[in-house]
Amino acid sequence: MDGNRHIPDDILHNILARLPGKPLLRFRCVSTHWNRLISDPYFMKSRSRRMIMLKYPSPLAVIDANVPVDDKAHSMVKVPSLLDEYNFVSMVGTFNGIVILVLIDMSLRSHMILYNPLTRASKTLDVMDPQPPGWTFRLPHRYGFDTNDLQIVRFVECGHPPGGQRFKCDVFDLKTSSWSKSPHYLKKEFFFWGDGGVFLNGCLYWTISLMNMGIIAFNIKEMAFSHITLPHGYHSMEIIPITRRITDCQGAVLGSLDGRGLCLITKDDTITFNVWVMNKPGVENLWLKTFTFTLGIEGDRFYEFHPMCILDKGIILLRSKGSHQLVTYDMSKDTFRNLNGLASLDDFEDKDTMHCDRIRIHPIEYVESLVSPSDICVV
Amino acid sequence: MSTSSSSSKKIVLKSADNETFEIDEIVALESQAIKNMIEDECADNVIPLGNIDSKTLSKIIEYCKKHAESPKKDDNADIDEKAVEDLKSFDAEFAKVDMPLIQDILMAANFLNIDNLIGLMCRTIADRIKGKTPEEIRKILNINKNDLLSPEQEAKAREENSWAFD
Repeated sequence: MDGNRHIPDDILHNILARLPGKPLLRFRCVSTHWNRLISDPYFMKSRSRRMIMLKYPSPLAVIDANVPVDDKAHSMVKVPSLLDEYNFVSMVGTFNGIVILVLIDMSLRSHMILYNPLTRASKTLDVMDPQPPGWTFRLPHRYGFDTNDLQIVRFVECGHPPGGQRFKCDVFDLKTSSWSKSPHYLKKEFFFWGDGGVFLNGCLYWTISLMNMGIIAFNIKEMAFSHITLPHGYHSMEIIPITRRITDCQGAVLGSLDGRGLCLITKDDTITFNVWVMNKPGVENLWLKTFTFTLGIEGDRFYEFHPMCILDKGIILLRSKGSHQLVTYDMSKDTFRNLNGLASLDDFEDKDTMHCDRIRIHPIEYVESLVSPSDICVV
Repeated sequence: MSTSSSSSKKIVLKSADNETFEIDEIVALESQAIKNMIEDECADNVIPLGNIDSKTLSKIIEYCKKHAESPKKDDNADIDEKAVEDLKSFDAEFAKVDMPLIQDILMAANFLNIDNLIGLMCRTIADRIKGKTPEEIRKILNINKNDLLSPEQEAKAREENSWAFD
């Protein structure tokens, strides 16, 4: 077959769909044909490349687990800073390849930003002033995202004596780009673990703790709260000695199993993990332990891992405590896979002071797209 | 070639440069297109492959032989890891050829409808081009020079995706 080796479209599609995002962007310049093919929303949709964004180290990095780890240029990419200076970032949620971030600048203003990690285009949705006088600023606000109705739920911690400390809850609608007016209050009897809530069937779920560890559920349509207890034996703080509370709270990570059910990962001891699935409310045993796996022993060496989040297709992302190694565990195949060590980023800095924040920020899994943040909010 | 299949039915393929290849039917069945021909009883004599040269065809037969001999994934859930690894390393070695031959194999695999081989060749091309510049791609894949972006379009695309050119 000398001479013309014209590649048919379906084959070209097959080749391009295997490329990481960065070369795809570059190859839009190859020809008008390639540009058309790559820019076609159906191409990106069928490519369906899942990426993991995590805040760790500072500020943000993106991991492409589809690429072999030795391809450092494509398997892990640092996200450039979106603000000159800021002291906190929350990863709120994702839709259509856009990640919703809230950054808090040095004067404590919160910037709500839509960001496409592939094209690196961003759009600021709202800049929220620091809380008014009399309201205590303790922790950054907590967020959740309703992927069906594109609504951001926000919990603001506020102190209004004599009622005691409360959480004010309000909702930002992405479609209208506005906050809902009627705030709901919730007695501040708990702390949130982690920033982004888990969205499932019209409800958002967060793990919480104060006297007891538990789960708070927020029904977005009815604007109603409810509490869910953890599996027997995990509800008490006693399982976490005070000295290890900060690091080991990650022993309970909440997620959704492909949008079918609420899933909880707990640690029995330093190497044993349990995976629980929630039954329908009202059932005697609310939580069903589906299985147990162990991770941490390698020959005669021992590493302690923390679950970080539950990804698509029942894959759990874990992080080692000492070496900053990332590992995925596939629940359906019972297999482990090493991802990049975070320390391999050239400007990696292990800041111990940030440790508490770091572990509370759950990574986000998004599907790459070329969707522009500016095209989302049409009033 | 395993002895068990030596008595099986033979299929004869003829390349564009008139070379004939006699192969076991089981090997030919790796190609969905030939499988369809056999099922439709159109494969009694020599199957002429007028758009595949002998160099490409012999590579394709090498691939099909190996894959026909290997246990299929869906046959048995617990195939020993060794067979899987063996096939993996065969595929890796198989793909170590120059780019024009990769493309010829890909086009032929597409014509013969050999799914695994199409996937392997696409993956190989993707791996080889992912670090390249658009200029290099145009050269490697013989992109039609009449289909380039206008200088203005290209400048705009480079600006919009500037981080990808770092």
